[in-house]
Amino acid sequence: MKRHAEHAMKWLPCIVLATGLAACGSEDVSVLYGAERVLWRADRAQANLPLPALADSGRAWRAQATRYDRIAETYENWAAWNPDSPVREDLLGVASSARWSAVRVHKTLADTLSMRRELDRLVAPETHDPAIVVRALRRRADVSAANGDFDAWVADLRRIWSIVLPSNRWVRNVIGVPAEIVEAQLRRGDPDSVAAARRDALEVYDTLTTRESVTLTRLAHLESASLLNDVGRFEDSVALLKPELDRILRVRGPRGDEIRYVVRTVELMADALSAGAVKPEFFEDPLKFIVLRSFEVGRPHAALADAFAERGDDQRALEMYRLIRRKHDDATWGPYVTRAEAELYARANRWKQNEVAIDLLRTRYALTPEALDAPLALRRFRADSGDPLGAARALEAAIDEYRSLRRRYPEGAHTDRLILRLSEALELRGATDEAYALRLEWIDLVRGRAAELERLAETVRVGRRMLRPDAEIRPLLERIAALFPGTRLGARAARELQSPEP
Amino acid sequence: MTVERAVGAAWWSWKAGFVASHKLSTWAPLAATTVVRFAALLLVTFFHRPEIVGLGRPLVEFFGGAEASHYPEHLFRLPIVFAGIDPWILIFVGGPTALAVTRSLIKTSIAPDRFPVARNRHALLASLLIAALAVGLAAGVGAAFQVLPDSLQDRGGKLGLAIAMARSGLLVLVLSPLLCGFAAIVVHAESFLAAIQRSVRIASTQPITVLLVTAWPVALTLPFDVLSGPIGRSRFESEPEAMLVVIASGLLVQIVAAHVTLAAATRIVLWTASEE
Repeated sequence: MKRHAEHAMKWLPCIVLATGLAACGSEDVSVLYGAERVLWRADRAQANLPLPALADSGRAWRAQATRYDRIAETYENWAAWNPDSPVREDLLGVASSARWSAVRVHKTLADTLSMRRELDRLVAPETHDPAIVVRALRRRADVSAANGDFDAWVADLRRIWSIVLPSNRWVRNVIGVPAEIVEAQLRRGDPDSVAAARRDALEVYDTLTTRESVTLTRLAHLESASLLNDVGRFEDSVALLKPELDRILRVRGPRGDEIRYVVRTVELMADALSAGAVKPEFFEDPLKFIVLRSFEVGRPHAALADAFAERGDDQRALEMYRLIRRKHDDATWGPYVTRAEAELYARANRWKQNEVAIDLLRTRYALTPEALDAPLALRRFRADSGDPLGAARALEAAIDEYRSLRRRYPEGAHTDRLILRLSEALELRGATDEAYALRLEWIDLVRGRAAELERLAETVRVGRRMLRPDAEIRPLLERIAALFPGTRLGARAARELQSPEP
Repeated sequence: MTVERAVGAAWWSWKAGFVASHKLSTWAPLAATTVVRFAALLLVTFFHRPEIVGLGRPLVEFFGGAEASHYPEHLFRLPIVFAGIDPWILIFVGGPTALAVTRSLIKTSIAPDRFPVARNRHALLASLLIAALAVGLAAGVGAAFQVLPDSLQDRGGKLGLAIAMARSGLLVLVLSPLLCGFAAIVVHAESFLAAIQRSVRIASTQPITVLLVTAWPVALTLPFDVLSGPIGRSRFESEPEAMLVVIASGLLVQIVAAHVTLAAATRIVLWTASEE
């Protein structure tokens, strides 16, 4: 007995140590580690899902969304049951990430209803990390905007603003939110609400300028100027932007945000130029500054050239386009500039030069979007200038050219646009059978992807415009209803299919 | 000594090492050390278990940073975390183990009759100091490579492999003067300083043999070192648990490498002693 006691005494420190360690440990860390592992495994599994997402009617992707949903649910519940756990915030972070991944999966499936449901869970108060909540609100606002749900759109934008307002950095990242509220009210179409929203936004931006952040002040000024431009208060806009612009132009080594301010100011002032609120000379120094220092040289110059063209100052516009051609990368800006020049020449009835520009588009920039648009644009120029015969000839030439391009370059990044333009040209000629068949081919190019929904809906619209028989349109509606049941268009298609006369 | 003779001597030492390994008793101390090392590896691998989280998590976060306690970063940083703990085990357990293995090798298989093991009162202290010195020098080599820019240190591919090989080469150069230290303590009953002196003297008189014998364990464990670094991280990106397998396999290979190296070093010391 005594020997046993001695033996036990020898092991006592070890037993005490082991008990102590076991007592001070809880399963919190283990749960968190497990949660991270489960989420990571789910993310890895997503990488192996079939593409396009709807290849198997979306079964695998829907299962993946369910998997994420289950992960989020499990750890949200755990956090709810263990409010004092030291890993509660981390676990909610895992749950948020899982929910966010589910949102992305639903987006891939174009399932807006499920996406919205996940977003609603994410933005539930006092649950998730504010950064995730802001991201989710942003996404939900986009969904509401796409669905025309203006109240929800504005409400989400207001909530985003209230969350970010205390932090200058966060405000900088979502500085456009008050202006977007104005846009939402504009789309709603209620003039009183628009005026009130604009007034509120200008006040908000004005308040931001009192904060001790020069960058924030600049951004607020730019947003205010844009809002003022929208209502034609160009003088106020100029008065707001010019002092800082002048100051920056005098700076010897300007910083990145200062250069961006000048670029954006030129773009905004281009609107003022169109309205005649500033003189062309206003832009001389800023443009010199931009050419010397900025990488974003093409955009402000193009905005200004377009503004000159809009004012009818074709000569200056052409000079500006030539300057863009001289100064900037040909591959990026060449097609845009050539297309704009062709339009200017057509407007001035300078058909010879117009043809040269169009030829340049066809040869040097073949298969770019601008080059693909050019043959049909040429027909439009002729029609707009009151030359129906020339327009008809241009249309025939466009069809021949598109057919030839299809033969020579059957596949590539250009295929979508080429098929669409050929279909449009054929529809203009009245060859609706072939035009409609091309539209169906156009859908097949994105079969199984979220983009298919939009193309199906567009083709239904075009089919009705072409007076195609119901038997041809019905399969498209059935496909929309079957593949995208969680979308507004899917629900509408299902309703139309049930009604006796869709 | 000619090169052929030096290579022949190295070969002869290795052969003796392999021949000596048939005596299971000589493996016992190494097995005990490996058990301790495995226990440490399990501690930092399963640190999140409630029973050990109190001890494991601080260790993991201390050696690997705060991110090291999160999956999968934890497994990718496991080699770093283990490399923080392992040297202490090697000093306090590895030193005496090397002494015990050498003694056991001489007693049982290498020279049981001709060289009775001498009594040495300072053997334990001397072995601890040699182990500490070896670990310190290895850490120094690691630190020397820390001066490389991060972009080079985190490189995989051929460049990453070349850097790992250069590090191993430097390690061989730095550790070779200590190769015969443990055997000197056992065979000649020397103190720490005397054992080091003898070991350096042997290394300087037979540099090729000593370098070859030292290179053996380093070369044997090189693949595991490489796979524990950025190359392994990119290779096992989708299976981070493989990092644990790599480390554990490395530990098992190290037993064999250590056993043969200690036997070879003992042979060299006995051989030089007989020549004296």
